[in-house]
Amino acid sequence: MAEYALIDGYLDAFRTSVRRWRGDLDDLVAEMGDHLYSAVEGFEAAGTETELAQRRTLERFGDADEVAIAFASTPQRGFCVPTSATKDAGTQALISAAAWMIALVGLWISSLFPESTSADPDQFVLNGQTIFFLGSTLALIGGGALMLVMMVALRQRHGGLGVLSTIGIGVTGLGVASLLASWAFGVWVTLIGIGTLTFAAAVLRRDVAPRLPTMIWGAGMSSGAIVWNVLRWSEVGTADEWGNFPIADITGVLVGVVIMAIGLIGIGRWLSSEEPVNVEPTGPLATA
Amino acid sequence: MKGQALKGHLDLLLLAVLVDGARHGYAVIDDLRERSEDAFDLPEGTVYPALHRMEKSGFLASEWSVVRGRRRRTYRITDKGRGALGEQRHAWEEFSDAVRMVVKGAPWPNTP
Repeated sequence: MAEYALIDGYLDAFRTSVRRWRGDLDDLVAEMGDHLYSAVEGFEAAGTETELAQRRTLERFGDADEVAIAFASTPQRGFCVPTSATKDAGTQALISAAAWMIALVGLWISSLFPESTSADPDQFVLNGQTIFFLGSTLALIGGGALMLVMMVALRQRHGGLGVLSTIGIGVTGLGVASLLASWAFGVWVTLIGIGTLTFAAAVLRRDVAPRLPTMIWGAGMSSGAIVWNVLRWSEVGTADEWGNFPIADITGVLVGVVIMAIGLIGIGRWLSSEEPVNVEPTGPLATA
Repeated sequence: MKGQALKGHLDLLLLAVLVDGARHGYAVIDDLRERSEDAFDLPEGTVYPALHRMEKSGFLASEWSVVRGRRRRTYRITDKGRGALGEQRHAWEEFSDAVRMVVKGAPWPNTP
């Protein structure tokens, strides 16, 4: 309603302050709009000039951020506001992407070192290869753990994203735990691939995050898992002394990590770019 | 009375208003202000989370209609809500009686 520009602007501001499953947000804005327009019409009927009526209405209704905080602080599913915690989750996603890429580089560097010439092949020898491999393992675990934190924060941000998201977090968690045996590439690539794909599906279903980065992230490690499985079970290349197929390992990890990291960067930039609304659990009136 | 003082009692107040008949959010708040003779000073928008929460809990039910070209959501109290209102009213009366007994007759503090 062009004549009620202040009210329209307020409703637009509210839409950006509150994140909700898309259909419900339209309902909420419609309900609040009805309240605001009714209030303005009430003032106008009492003889108040239109602009003043709108200002008084908005004063009584409350600041858009204040109302958004009330929604975010009330225990109900589907609402969220950008907070300092979600902004931190964005930063964690960016660090996670960096850690995954550092791990990839470390694995590549470790492969450049010659194999150990120890008489006992099972004896652990601290050399350049093992140092870089251990460092890469730590980077993988760090990257995986930060990514898990981001997933949990994204779910909490919306008060829940359904059973799919819980399964996604659980399977990804198993995958991150299996990084302790980082040489078992197929295991963690597959688990993390399934977990992130499942979680991404939950996020896309609710339409609560930018679609493209979420799709890239979800498709990342799962693509790597597909590549690894195809190359491994097709027995491409020569098997090593442990029965592994290095080409499958290298290609699967490379594809998975690079694509997933690109998606993580997109999600991280989105989350960390939002202006947080301070959420004070003791403040809002609507918390019973 | 400021928002913080109403914390914990908002459900009771909203149910007490809605027990008299279905209303949309604006009418609920208007009624609340009128009945309290403007004693309750709260940002009107912050009432909606409480209304939605009570609907999810089964105390209220809502339906949509179109009024003057706008979508309007009207709330009505359910049987479960009536039960909750009775319980909360009883709890409030016990609380306010206890406060009255403690405060009544207590000497005012000396002020310089």
